[in-house]
Amino acid sequence: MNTQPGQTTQNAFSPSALNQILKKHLNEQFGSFWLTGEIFELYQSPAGHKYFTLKDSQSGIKCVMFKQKQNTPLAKGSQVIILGNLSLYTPKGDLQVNVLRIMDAGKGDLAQQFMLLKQKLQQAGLFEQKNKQQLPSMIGSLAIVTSPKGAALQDILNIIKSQNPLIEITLYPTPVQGEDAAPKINHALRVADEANHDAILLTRGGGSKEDLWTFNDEFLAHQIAQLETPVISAVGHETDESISDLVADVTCITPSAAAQLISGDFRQSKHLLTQQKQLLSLLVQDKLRLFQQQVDSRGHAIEKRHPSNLLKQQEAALGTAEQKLNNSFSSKWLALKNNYQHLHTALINNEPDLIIQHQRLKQFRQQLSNNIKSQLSDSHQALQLSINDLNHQNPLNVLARGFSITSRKQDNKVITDISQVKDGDEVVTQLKSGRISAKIFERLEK
Amino acid sequence: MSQTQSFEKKLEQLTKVINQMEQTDVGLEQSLKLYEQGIKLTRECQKIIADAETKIEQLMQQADD
Repeated sequence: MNTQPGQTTQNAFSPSALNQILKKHLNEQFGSFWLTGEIFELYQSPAGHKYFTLKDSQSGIKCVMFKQKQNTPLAKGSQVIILGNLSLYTPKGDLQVNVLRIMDAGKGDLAQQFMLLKQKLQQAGLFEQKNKQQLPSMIGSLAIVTSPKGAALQDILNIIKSQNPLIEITLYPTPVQGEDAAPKINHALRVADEANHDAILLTRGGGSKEDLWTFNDEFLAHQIAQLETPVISAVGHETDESISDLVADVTCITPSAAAQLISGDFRQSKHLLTQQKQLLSLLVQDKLRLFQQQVDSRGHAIEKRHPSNLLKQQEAALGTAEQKLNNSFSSKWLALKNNYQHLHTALINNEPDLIIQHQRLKQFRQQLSNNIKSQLSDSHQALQLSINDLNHQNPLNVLARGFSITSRKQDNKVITDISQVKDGDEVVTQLKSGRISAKIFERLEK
Repeated sequence: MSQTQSFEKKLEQLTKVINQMEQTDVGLEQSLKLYEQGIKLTRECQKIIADAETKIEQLMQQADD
């Protein structure tokens, strides 16, 4: 069963294994760091390596400085600042600082002070990211804490004017160098903080280390850390490092860079404004054209339906109808007229000659009259003759002369033939003076 | 409200106006109203910029004095 080294008696560390692990851990856990103290127990090897203990009043740590090109003379008891990293001298298990750079603290007073202050503030957590405030996404109101005389301010104002003139800038003028600058900067920062700006820009342009020293003030560092308003620090040039830069919420390498950062993407907004303005015009023109078109088409439609047009149409229709009517009427009329003419002509042609007819009629009548008269006279004569005849024929006259007429009694039929009677039949014989009745006694044939 | 805020807000409003105008069902009257509103917003935006530029100019002069 595998266990972690050093956890059981069977799996105990060897000193070298432990030292290796320690060495590894030390390298990983500590990077390089600045350390300051007094040199004690200095020993220089013949090869040129220097071994010493760096101590303060209570404690000390072994240091080793391997031979370097620039040989810095070291003296026992002198104050130095070293840059180094921790290492373990494994043969003995000694912990030591491997010195990379060493500075005489007496000579580099500012540098030493800077290092010390930096360390101190670092330990106090002033540089920690979690303690820093975020800049608002949009800075509308900006406090600038700087010298009104400095070139930095002009640079910043120029950039903001061209990039984002909308930022409302309030200047909190303060000297930025000299012995009394730090408290004045502090004061300006406090006043600015109370004015509730979106951000405070603490800045100054480049200068000598001494000029910039104001920004390495411990009190100022605490002040910056305490401000409610996010602070942007832009002190000096790219190469300059200041406590103010370290402790501020946001650091910019130059005042110009700060101005760029603060301006944000306003240019884009401005560009957007221009675009939107053009788009707006296009849209409204488009809309107007669209509506114009709609109005036109409707206007056209309305015009088509205008009463006068309708009237015209109806008038035209009426005209056509009238024309049609006229045509059909006139053709019919013409036909009728023709027909009439024709008939008339025919009639005229066929008109009987009334006068002739009349004369004819007269003639006929005359003729008729003559005929009737002659016929009448003829008839009259004939009648006279007949009457005469009749007179001659009258049986009574015959009877007078002795002739008689015998007829059957039963039916008064005149007997002209003997077959008409049989024996025993009663007969009546007419005589001129009267009648006699007789009975057939015998029929005698001639 | 800061100038930047009001500028951003107006720009946002302008964008909204344009979006509305892009709708097909917006009538003529409404279109004109929106256009008027849009132009007003554009002018206001431009005025904010112009005012701000003047202000900075003044600030620079003060600093020079």
